[in-house]
Amino acid sequence: MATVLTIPLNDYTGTLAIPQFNIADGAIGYTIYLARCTTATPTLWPNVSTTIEVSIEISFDGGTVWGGGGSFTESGGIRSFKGSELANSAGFFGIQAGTNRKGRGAVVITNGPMRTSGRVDVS
Amino acid sequence: MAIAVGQHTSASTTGASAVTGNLTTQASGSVIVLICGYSSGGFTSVSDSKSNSYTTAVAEIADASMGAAARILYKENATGGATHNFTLTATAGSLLVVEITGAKTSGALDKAPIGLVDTASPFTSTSTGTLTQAAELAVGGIVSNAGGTASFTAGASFTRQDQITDGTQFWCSALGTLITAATTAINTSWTEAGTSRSLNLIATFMEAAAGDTLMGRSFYEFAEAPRWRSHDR
Repeated sequence: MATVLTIPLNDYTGTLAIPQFNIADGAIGYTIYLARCTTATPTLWPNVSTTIEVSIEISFDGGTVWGGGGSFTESGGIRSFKGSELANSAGFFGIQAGTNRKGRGAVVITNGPMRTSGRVDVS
Repeated sequence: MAIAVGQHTSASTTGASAVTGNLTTQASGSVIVLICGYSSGGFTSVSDSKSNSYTTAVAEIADASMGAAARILYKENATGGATHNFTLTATAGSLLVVEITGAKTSGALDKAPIGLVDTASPFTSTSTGTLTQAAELAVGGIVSNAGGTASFTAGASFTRQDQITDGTQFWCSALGTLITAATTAINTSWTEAGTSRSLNLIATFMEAAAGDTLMGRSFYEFAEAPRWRSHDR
């Protein structure tokens, strides 16, 4: 798994653009991570009422034609999973085989601001 | 057309709903199978961008110790085409999708035994029992309690098609397929080093008989209605 894009820590409102990233030949999927509120990080995305919709587009021709690459919805606050607090909200998406593949996307934030950082990993 | 695996994909989220990337599926006639894993009690719905309605193949199985549940849904003679994506609305949902081509367009589902919680490797599903016909395509799934980075190996002659591997964020899961050539009972068998509990499911789908379909339509749709000659009466 390789990190191909880093989203800096900031207070975001409205729409956060996810810049174009490369998807290596042979990769089978990618994951978007956004840091969320935990007991140790109470200032990150603390409000349940702050919601996001993350949408990704994928290009199979180096960035000329774009199509739907997956999306997910999330809300803020502290949440547990498998008995531990989740440090990130995340979405994983399988991707069809190809070469010269690229991704890009947006995070639409409702009831922001939302303080977070993040990354995109390709696997 | 022989039964075969078409397109396949996967998506997973920590949140409330996940939508896969677009596939280009057959315009009509495919069976679409969805394997859904999610936190117990968290399932709401599945849907796709072609307005197909999905039917339960394997009912929900849940494990309180894992805190997870899983089920298999399918749509036969599905409407497909370009920009075909799939949505699972469920808490911490993991969705694995496979298209089957060359299956019956009606009555395709054969065996769908109850799901099984397994706590010992290899992790197996319930046996299908004897299949109705030799030529079928089995779809098997596993949802695991792995907490690190998982890697699933499919046994029992299955081929792994997709897997979701980040156990810190998601319910790790995998989908495998097997094209059968005999009516012998089958089951899935998975190994994964970080797994100690798992939900295991299997369903089989029947190949269309020769002449059953033409471009996804029944032979009988093309057949002329009988015309009676006067001297037959």
